[in-house]
Amino acid sequence: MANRYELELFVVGHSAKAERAECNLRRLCDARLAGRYDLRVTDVLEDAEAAEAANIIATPALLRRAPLPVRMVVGDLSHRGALLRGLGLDDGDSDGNSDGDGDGDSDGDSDEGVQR
Amino acid sequence: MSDERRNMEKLSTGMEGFDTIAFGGLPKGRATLLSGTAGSAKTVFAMQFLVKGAALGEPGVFVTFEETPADLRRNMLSLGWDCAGLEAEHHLAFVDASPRAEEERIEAGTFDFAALVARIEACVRRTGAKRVVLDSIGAMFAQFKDPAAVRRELYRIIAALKQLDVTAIVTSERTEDYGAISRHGMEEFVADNVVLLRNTLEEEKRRRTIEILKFRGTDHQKGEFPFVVSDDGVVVIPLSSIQLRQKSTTLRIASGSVELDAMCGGGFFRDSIILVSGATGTGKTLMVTAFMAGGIEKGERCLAFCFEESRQQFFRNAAGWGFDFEQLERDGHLKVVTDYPEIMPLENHLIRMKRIIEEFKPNRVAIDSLSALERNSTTRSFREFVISLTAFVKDQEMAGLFTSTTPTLLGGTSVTEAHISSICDSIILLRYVEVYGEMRRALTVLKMRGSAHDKEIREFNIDGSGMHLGKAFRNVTGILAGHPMQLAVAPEELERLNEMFPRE
Repeated sequence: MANRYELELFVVGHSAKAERAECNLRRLCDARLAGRYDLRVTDVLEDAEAAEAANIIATPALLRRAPLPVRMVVGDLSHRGALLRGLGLDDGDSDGNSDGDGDGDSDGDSDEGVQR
Repeated sequence: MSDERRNMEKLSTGMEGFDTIAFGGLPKGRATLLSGTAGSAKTVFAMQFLVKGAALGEPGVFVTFEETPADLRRNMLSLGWDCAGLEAEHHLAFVDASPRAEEERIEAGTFDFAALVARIEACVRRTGAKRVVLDSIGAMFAQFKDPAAVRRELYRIIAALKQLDVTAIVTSERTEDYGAISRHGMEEFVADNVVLLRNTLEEEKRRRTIEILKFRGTDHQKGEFPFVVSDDGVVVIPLSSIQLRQKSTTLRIASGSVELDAMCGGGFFRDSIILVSGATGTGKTLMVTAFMAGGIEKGERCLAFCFEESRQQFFRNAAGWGFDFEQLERDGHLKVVTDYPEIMPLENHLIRMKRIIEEFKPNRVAIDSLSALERNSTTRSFREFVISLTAFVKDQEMAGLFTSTTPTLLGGTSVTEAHISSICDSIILLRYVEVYGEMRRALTVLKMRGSAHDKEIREFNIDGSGMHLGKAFRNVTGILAGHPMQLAVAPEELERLNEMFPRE
């Protein structure tokens, strides 16, 4: 359970952008996090309160609630590199950046998890 | 077109002064861009718009892009605005779009602000808001990398506001007080109505002004108007809207000196402004004291603003002339307010003095001295101050006696007088006169609007019982010019002169 990913995708309505984001996300998660992630899709039009609580401004927005730290990835998730970085699944270069941010621990953990 | 112009509805902001210069308020159902440099009071203005709206039964939504709602609640408490209380009563709601420091945000592809629009719409519907503030939209450019996307999406938000039928204020930064309307060209989005706030440095003094640059399809006052951020927010001073509409009266009031009353043709006029000018020690404060005492004697309420002496000094002087001002103040006939001019900008003094006058409702107001206040301001601010205050005093049907200190001991006028002599109804000059190795004091009524008056330059004595007017200086010339010269006049000639101008 330690490396379980809790993800929430915020979208507004059923736009093409929203569908694209969900599709991109699921494809990547199934490839890299199969069986280790929970994904909830929230439509801001139906649940403005949730968007308020999570301070959602731009959509689509992916919130990585776990592992910590909380991260937000904004956009239709078509940039695979940025999505990987947002999920903390990228190897190599951005690890160094993350270490610099002081949250290298969780990144390190998750990366190890992927390799194991 | 002209019909539309007249029919364009305004929403009263409820903000003192602003509605006056805006001819009623902000264009209703529209968005207005409020642009200003850092520290120009944009957020205070915007929040006040909502707080005043709440008081008028119009709920408001504050969308914050920069400060967190927690910070705003705390900051606004210093102005006495209880945001949390208003939120509890559903008069105010925040939509938090401020960046979260602890949260890393990564952009991965195209996005839009539909979520924010949906949140604003939901909040407006939930609260029944009539007023919306976006503060400040420029901050969005710091939150997202692609400026083109941010611009496109901000445009979407502003378009959505129009659909919601709310009156909105959208704040934006400027880099200079006189330059581009706003950073990032936000005026292209909110082009219909633009209000500018300025906070300029002039002669080492901060000067805040507000200018309505344009209201599409409706009229407003043009140009910059000073404003202050006082204890309860932004107060605009609508100078040019002060009209010369004061009723004038022929009602006379006692100056506090029977002899001076006689010189003025029967006393001062009730709603008039009297300027007393003189060098230090010529008896200006005594004139103020007598003016106050003369009013109290007739059962009037008197208010004195002293910027040169402490309360104790003022009371001690009055006691020296036989007036127990301390007791009179305790009894509520008199109020004495003493302050250093330097404690706040002149605009703030103006607001504060107006407030004290409104609370105390005096029949007479004295200021000792205007010159002390002038030290603390620029020429322009000072003129605006005097015009605004005199108009206010006259409007309340009060008499005002203001003193002005001349910089030279003999003769001379002060800068103060040059600025305000045309505004004053009466001018009394107090001057030193050197006569045969002795300093004497002289008094003359230079101007008495609407009445005949004694044109003599009379000797003026001060003793334990106050002020006394003596004979005219018949054999001295050049008193007002500051070069008194004795004339060798034969006693018979002096006698003849005195007969030519008989005393009444």
